[in-house]
Amino acid sequence: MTLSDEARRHLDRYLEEMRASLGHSERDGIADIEQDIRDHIDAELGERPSPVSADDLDAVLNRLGSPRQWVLAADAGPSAEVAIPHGRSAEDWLAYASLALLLLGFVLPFFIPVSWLVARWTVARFEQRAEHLGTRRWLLYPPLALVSVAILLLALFWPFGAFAELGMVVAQKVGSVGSDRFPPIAALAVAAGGLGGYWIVVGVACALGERAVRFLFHPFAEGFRRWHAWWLSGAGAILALGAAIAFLGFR
Amino acid sequence: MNTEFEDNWSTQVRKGVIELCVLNALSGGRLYGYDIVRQLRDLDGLFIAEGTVYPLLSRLKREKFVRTRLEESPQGPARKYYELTDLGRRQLTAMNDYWRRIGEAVAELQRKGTKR
Repeated sequence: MTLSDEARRHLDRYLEEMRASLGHSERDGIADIEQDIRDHIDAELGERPSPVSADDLDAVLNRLGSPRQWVLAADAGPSAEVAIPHGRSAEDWLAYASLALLLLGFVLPFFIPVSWLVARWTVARFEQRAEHLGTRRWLLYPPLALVSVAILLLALFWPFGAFAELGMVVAQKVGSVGSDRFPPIAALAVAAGGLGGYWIVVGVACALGERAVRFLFHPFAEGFRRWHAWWLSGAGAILALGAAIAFLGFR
Repeated sequence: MNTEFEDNWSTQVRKGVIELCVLNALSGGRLYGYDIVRQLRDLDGLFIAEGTVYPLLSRLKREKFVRTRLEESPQGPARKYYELTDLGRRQLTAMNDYWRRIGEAVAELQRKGTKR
C-alpha cells in the first residue's frame, strides 16, 4: 500500500501528535503503538488502489480516534475508554447549552463567543474520550461555524476599509492630473493592491503557524496544510499585481 | 427506565469486560491487532471504539499477559502478531472462572426473584 503525499503528511501528523501525547512513556511503548497504527491502516486500506488518498486515510484515523487518546488508555490502570453509543452525558448537555447560547447570542451578542467556547470545550472532551460526535455535531457545529466564518472574514478583509481610504487620498492627488474616470479606479486599485499585499503577509504567517490555524478553526481546519497558506499568498500576489497593472494602466 | 443510569452502568460493565474479551479473542491462537479489533467490533453490545484496543494490548503486554512477534506478511509489510503467554493463559482461566461465577450468581438472583 502506498499513501499519497497528502495522506502521508496526515499520517505523520497523527503519529507526531500521538508521540507527543505519550512523551513521558517509554520508547518501546510508543514504537509498539505506532506499529499497531500502521498495521491497522495497512489492514484497512491494503486492498485500495495506490496511492491511498488523504480522505480514505482520514476515515480510518477518525475511527481510530484522537491521537491524544493513546495516553489515556496506555497509562491508565483501569480499562481503556469505551465508546458510549447513546444516552445523555454531561457533554450532551453542554452541546445543547452551546446551541442555546448561540441562539441567545442573536439577542445579546456577548453570548456568541461564549457559545463558541462552550462548543470548543465540548468537542475537546468528546475527542479526549475518543467518542464520535455523531448527530451532536448539529448542536456543536453552528456556533463553531459562525464564529469561524466571522474570524476568517475579519482576518481576510479587515484592512480593506483603511486601504480604500488610502486609495481615495492617492486617487485625489493623482486624479487632479488625470481623466474623470481615473480617481475611483485608482482608489480601488490602491485598496486591492493593499489587500493583496496583506494577504501575502497573512499567507506567510499562516504557513509558519500551520498548527495555530488548525487550532483556531478546529474542527473544520484539520485538513489545513502549509500549501493552502501559500495559495492565499499567491492569490494576494496576483491581486496586488493586477491592482498595480490597473493603477498604472489608467494613469 | 433511567436511560442515563443504564448507559453509565453498561459503560462500566463494558470497561470491566474488555480485557476479558481481548484475552479470550487470543485464546484460540495468535492474532494480529486488526483481527482482534474486527472480532470485538463485530460483537453485539460491546460498542468498542477501534482505537481503544491497541493501547489495551500494549498494557497487557506490559503486564506480560501477551507477547508480540513480527512476522512477514505476503500482503505487505511485516505484521505484529499478539499471542497469550503462559501467565496470560493462567490469568484468562482465572478471569473466565470469575466471569462464570458472576454470571451464575446473577442468574441465581434472577431465578429467586422470578419465583417470588
